[in-house]
Amino acid sequence: MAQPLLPGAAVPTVVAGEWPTVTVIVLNYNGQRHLDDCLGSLLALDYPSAQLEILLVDNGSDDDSVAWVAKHYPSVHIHRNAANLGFAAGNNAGGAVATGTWLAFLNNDTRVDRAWLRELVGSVLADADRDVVCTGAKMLDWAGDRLDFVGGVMNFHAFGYQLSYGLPLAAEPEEYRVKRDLLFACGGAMLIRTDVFRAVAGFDGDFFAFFEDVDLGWRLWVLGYRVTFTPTAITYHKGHGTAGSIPHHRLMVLFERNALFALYKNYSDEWLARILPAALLLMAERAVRMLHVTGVDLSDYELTTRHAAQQGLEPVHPQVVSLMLAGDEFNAALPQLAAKRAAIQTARRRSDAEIAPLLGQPTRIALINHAADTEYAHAHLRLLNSLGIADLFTAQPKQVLLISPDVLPVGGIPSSGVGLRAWALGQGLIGCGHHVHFAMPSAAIQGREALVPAAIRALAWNAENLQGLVDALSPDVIVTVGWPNLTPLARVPMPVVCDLAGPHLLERDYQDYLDNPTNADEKLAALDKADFFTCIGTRQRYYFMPWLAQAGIRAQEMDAALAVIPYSLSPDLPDHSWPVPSEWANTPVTFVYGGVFLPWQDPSAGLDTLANTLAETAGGRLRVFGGKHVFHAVQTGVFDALIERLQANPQVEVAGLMPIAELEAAYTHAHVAMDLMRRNPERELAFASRTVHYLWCGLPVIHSHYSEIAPLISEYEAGWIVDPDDRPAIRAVIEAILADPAEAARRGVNAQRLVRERLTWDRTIDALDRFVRHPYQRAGRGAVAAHRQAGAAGAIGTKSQAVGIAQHSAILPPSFDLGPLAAVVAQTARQRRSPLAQVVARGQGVLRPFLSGGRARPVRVAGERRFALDELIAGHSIGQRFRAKQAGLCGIEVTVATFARLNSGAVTFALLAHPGAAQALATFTVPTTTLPDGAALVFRFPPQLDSAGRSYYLMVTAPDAVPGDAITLWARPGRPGTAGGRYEDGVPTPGALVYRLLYDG
Amino acid sequence: MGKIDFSIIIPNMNGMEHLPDCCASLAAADYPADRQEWIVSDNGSVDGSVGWLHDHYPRTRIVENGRNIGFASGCNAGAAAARGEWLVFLNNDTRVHRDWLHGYVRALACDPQAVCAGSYMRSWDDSEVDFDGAAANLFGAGQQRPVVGWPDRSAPLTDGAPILFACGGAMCIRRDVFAAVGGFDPSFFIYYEDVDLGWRLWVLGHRVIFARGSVVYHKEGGTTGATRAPSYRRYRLFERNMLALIIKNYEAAHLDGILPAALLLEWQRALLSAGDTIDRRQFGLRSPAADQPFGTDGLTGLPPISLTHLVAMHDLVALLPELLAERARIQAARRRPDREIFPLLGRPFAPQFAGPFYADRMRRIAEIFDLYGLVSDTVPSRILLLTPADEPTGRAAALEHLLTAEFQLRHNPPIPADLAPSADLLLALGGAIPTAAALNTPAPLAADVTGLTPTAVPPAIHSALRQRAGLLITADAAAASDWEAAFGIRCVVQPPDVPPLAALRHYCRYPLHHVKPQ
Repeated sequence: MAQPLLPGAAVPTVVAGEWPTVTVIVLNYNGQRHLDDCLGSLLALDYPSAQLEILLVDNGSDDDSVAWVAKHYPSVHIHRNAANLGFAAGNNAGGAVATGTWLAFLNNDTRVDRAWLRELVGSVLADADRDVVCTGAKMLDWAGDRLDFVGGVMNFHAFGYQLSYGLPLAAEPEEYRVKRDLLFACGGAMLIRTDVFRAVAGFDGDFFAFFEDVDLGWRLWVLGYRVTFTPTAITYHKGHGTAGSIPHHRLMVLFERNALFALYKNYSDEWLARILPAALLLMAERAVRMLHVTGVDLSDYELTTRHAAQQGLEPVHPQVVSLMLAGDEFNAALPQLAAKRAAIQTARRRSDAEIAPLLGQPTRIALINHAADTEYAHAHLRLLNSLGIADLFTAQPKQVLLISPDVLPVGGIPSSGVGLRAWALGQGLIGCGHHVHFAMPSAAIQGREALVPAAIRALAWNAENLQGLVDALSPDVIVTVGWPNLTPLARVPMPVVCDLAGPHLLERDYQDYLDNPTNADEKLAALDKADFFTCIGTRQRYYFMPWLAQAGIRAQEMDAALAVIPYSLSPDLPDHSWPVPSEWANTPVTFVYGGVFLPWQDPSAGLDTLANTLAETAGGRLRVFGGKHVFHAVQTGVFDALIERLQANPQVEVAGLMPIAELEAAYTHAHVAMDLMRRNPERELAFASRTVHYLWCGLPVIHSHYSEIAPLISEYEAGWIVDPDDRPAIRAVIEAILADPAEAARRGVNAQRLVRERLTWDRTIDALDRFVRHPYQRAGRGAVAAHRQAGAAGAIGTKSQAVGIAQHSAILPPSFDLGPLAAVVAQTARQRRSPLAQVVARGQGVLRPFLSGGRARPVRVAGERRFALDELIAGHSIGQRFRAKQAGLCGIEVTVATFARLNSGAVTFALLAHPGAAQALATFTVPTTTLPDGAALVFRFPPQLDSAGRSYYLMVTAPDAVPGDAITLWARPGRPGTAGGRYEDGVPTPGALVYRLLYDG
Repeated sequence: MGKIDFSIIIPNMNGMEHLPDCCASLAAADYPADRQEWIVSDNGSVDGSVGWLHDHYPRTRIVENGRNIGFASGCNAGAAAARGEWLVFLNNDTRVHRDWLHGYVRALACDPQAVCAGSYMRSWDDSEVDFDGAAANLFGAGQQRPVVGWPDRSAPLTDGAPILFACGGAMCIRRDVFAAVGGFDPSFFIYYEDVDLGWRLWVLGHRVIFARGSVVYHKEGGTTGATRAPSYRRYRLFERNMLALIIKNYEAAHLDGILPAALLLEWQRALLSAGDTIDRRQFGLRSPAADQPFGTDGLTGLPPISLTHLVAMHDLVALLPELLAERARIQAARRRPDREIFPLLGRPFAPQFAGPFYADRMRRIAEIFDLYGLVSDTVPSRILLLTPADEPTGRAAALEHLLTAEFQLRHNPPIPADLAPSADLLLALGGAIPTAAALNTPAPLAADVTGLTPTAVPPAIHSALRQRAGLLITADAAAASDWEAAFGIRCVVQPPDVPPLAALRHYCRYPLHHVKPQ
């Protein structure tokens, strides 16, 4: 038995009689194979056995579960339901006969930690005075290294989901390790007071399965109770296998219907009047999305079309019917729902506004694996905003993904101005209450992984994985610093803020970047994906306006679409240490210069003048902190020669780039910043981060007269404004400072006053906060792409490819090329095309325990038993060892399982000599986007001439796959104890993949 | 130029085959030519209509829209060019009675506050009525016939009678008012823009009346007929526009209940329109999974008429921001409460899909969203009282007498065909229970079963009760529970010579099928 992974508070010593009686209810349907693990772990609980009743509620199994339990676990009570009543009613039957004062509901495909029940009971007893009557246990996967349930939330139309499902435990955020309030506890492992459970009518039997736990938790909150999460009560859950045991078009009826049930029952009249119409219209949007996916041509539904009318039936995805039936079943159930609603609303003791914070991400778009396309997102946001639903939730913080193109000031990595800009925007939003997920380039983290917080490490991005991160996180809003981050993103259904960061094109000019047309194309394509824009200063605003105009933003919309947020830093300014006046005589005046060396910057005049003056007067020193960019291959312009000159000067000390904390320590002990740059177009538009950083540290600046911030520095007397080409003037300023360093101290105090009053992120974030609080998609978004697509029409290749693209266009990235894929996908005769809908693979796992009796029941194919493996996600591998019988091994055919949904990302096949081989003999990466369920996928490689009798290892990985968006392979079960050559994560595992070897000739 | 009374605006698109008749009748009409102007608003005709008008009716002003901008915008474009005091919108597939403009004048004289009048429209051959008054249900489904034949509307509408809307095919409206209220809503494109305009006029404090003396003959769906677009293309606009007009015109408190109900019913119609193409067994959890339930491509077939309901909702979402902005303007300018408009609907609970199943779903949804409560003060239920004899006697007479105080009644053993469609409830007294075959209305049934026994009901009547009855009444207190057990619906005891129970009255206001005893 695994130990609890997360030690909690000390648990009181167990003394029989002090603990309340508890009935643990294990609902079972044909799950005999799970019961030994599950019941065994329950009998091993360190809960006083006299206080514990274990009750197996059997939902009419036709395996021999009941007899087996009676024989092997005679102490377990058994309650038999005559038929499969479903999850809700099945558990209610147990709740009705239980003798404990508390009920613990536990899925049968789980095992629990020894302290599981003591933790749950201890948790609710400690909170008894807060009306806590229910708590959810933490659920991990069976191996205990991934999260299953750490909190239940839902969006406004009651699509419930589990936070961070599938996240590696190692990346678990701190908030999941503390007890907190929850909207609902997972029905798979929870504790609830028996009298309350009965009084509130338990799970709603009309749900049959899915969302009944959402409904129960929500109802408890409406009725004035509380639900919590107990992170120290650990449950291990087998969760989902795959197999098409329940087709998703059937599951979808329940999901859609039950969400309507739950929201109809639980929202107050006022909220329901806004939300129910939106929920019903969004159902229609999902239906129309499915029509698009299957290629239904809506132009045929135009009154003015000249096409002949259709006579027959329109081929559509079965999910369209699921949605209609969900509506019909809701209508049919309305009378009894209305009675339940009346009872709940009459007894209401807590307002919707009080419950709203528990929803988590109430305005989230893509849920239960229902991949949202941009059109769906448009509709979602339009309904939110026009029906006043967004207003109900404006007080709720938003989930924001902040994509930085550069190093963030974490982990002691030297940061750049852009990284600090990203950090400042994020911190500003955090200060407004939003949840910000920071993502920085994986290149910036490389080699420093251990220094970076896990939450940021988990979001390390590159052009290949960014789409997957966005899809998996599904934030309410994306904030990207710099438009190039948007280039790798094909799908950004959520509102996007683009901080324009800098005039980019000009900077590239200094890097001899000659392909300006491509850059402009990319830039427009990126701006086309964003809805709201920020920039650093007024001059940049004027620079960007014509760009935005080209991206479809009308002049009348410009004020609303483009806001100035000056470069800002934390409101917690550091203390600057100044010598007392009498000490100046013994203190050399310290000048500093800091920052990345960039080709568009030329501080030579100022630094040379300063160095020369210091050398001549020997009255002070200059410290230079700078160097080449940490990971970008950017030239260093004039710096190499400059630094060489400076290093020759005894008054000058040159250090490299340093972590932000060390740099700030140096700045706060220095006296004046030399901040002069030669004038050029890039610098005129810049609102330099280093200037603000100097000021923030309490350094007065010698600053260029042409800059946008110069008037402000003058106004505050926070430095000296000079022409950076006027060396005599520069020299005069330096000499004056050396003569009267106390004046520098006075101006340094002013510098911090300037920052405090004008440039801290709590003061400058307003415009961004307003958008994030009330996000929308602008009307013209996507116009550039649409225009280009229209221009490129006709460039599509073969007819079959064209059909494929048309059918998938709602989901596929536009650049997707079917060519190579068509060559490798050999469809088997019995294979049916997988529906493209995104369905709840996870849902199949939830249902299975009481419908099909457990995980991935093997199916028979051509007389042979097969089952699909668990989702192949990042960090895992599937392998197969085999011996080639002949020479000329040239391919391996495996059978794919897609969980009957559309997946993105790619899967990589590698042929190795053995599982530990460092080098692959051959590799092959194939996009999963259009892989049909059950397809035979052929991995071809150059013939291995000497393969006869040799053994090999096939390794399959999916580096960017995440739970809910991953494929897997089919396998044959093996006899326990016999090795079939199959590997999971490099470990030999019984059974074998379904595979076939191909030989040349 | 003298004062122009009427600007006659004819929206036209490829209407060459209709225009000669239409123009000839206009030319022959008995009204001074210099007090009227003709404007043809042409939606990009390519059949020579415009040239023909130039040649034959050179005084006609042509507004060339260049393309099909829709009926609503076509009318608006014509109106923008008009100079008369009154705008007259006339379909191109009509001919007018020579007295038709005087008909407007006479009707408008009956009601000086009226700003809009609808012509009396008849079929081309004068054999049938096309528009002789308006009705609508709560969900915006307008109809071109008023409710007649009931005590409150025993006779056809007379000149100057208030109507919810005038048919856009032949109507007049004051030009200044038309402009002030924003004209036809261009986003409707076509269909129900006239219902929306009439409704809006009432909301904004104006009055719309019927002009019986303004007779216009209309071809059998002139822009329709053989060239009519297939229903799935028309229903996309019907369905969207009905939802759009209720969103625009109801008070907020009423929309809160009506909109969700309307959307639930939209989904219901989508499903019912699919007919038997759906195999429900493939969508239940416990029914066996077919090996290959759908086609080899994994797809299933649905008729376009079903899908068009979903597309209509999708279209509505696209339109929503401007609809709500329009709604805000209308509601801010509201001059008349909904409760004064409800009586004009005439048939607030008329089902807009055939068959008792839909009618039942609609009534249940209406009850749950308290829509009966919304209108019951202003719109009485129309109860068709069925009695064994022409002149009811005894118990039946007593019940009728007691109910008459509250509701309109009719009595006749067979269900009169002209009344059946607009009945809200059948109340069978004295054993006059219709057979299942005789139920020619989707209305639910309340039946007095005094004198019958549950076990000895004739099969045809048994089947009618099973299908349609929502309430049973008996004088025999001992039998009530047997009836409830046998039919699964409520049976109230109604002793002879005692006023009706509250339950019966309640049922008359909230008629539903199969109300099972709690």
